[in-house]
Amino acid sequence: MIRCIGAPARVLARGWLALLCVGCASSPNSYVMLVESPDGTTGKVYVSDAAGSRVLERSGQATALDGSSAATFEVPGEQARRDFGGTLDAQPPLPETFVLNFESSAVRMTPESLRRLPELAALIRERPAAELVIVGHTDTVGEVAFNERLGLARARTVSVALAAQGVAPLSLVLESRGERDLLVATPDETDEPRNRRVVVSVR
Amino acid sequence: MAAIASLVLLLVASAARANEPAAVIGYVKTVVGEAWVGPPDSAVRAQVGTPIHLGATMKTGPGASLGVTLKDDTVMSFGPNTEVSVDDFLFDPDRGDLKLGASIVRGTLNFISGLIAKMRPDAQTVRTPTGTIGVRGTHFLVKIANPSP
Repeated sequence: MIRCIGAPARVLARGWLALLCVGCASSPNSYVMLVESPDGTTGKVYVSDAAGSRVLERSGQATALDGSSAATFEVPGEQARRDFGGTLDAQPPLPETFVLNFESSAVRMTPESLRRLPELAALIRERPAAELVIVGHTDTVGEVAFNERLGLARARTVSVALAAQGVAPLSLVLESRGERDLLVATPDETDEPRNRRVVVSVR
Repeated sequence: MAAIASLVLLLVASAARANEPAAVIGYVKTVVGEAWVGPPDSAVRAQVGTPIHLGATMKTGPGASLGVTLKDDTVMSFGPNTEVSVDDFLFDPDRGDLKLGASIVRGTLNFISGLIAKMRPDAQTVRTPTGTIGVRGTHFLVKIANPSP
């Protein structure tokens, strides 16, 4: 008799537990969650599985990845930290680019860019397994072929200056775009300080 | 006879290609604890600077984590007990070849898309054990629970 009463009671208890879990929005064991990008925008994620197709487009929005449901839900901050804390701690530094400017028709950096060099070198030295791409550009003063060589000479100047500051990257690529890739569009034979630049991309 | 000879040549050529190491598509940037990178039969312990080759599987042990950056500036990191592979990676903007395909078997993934996403928003896919995630230039997190024993 007691056992007869006890069994339905346990079923009822389990039923309540299930309801409570829905109430506190317990997330499934497998899910994808959209978050804001480092640049402040939020993109989209399209998920497709046995439960159907859905789109995530708000930061914090999530959907199950076990094929059980196509519904979307919000992940409580505490749970996101518990699930992804270690993963986010392991995130490598984001790739960055820096621009250094040059004097007219020369491989000499402007005084302001020269002053910034130690800080740039320090930032690169701190990076784990830094990969550098250094691209030299010119304005439209002078012949195209001369500017191709000048762009490369500028890139080399920057790589030598960084090496002198103790930068020893895992990989280094030097390139010239000459006057083919102007930051500010100008006619030919135009002195434009903003086009005389070297772009340092560090990964 | 000539046909057989060229067939043999073709077989030799493709065998040679198969033995070439796959292209380097990125590097390990962070590692905590025990993590491995490489094909299942010849994975190496991950260290800062370990190259990631196309097709490589990345694995982390209990309490470990790993962070990698790919050639197109895609940034990925993995928490403990994670297994992820990069199956497709094309990054040749001049020729318009842009594609990234990864798979997660288990664990946790933090994904921040790079230049491939900027140049071709629909060119990135992450496969999970039960479906696919189409990435449109963004940052997202994935958790795949261990399959029940």
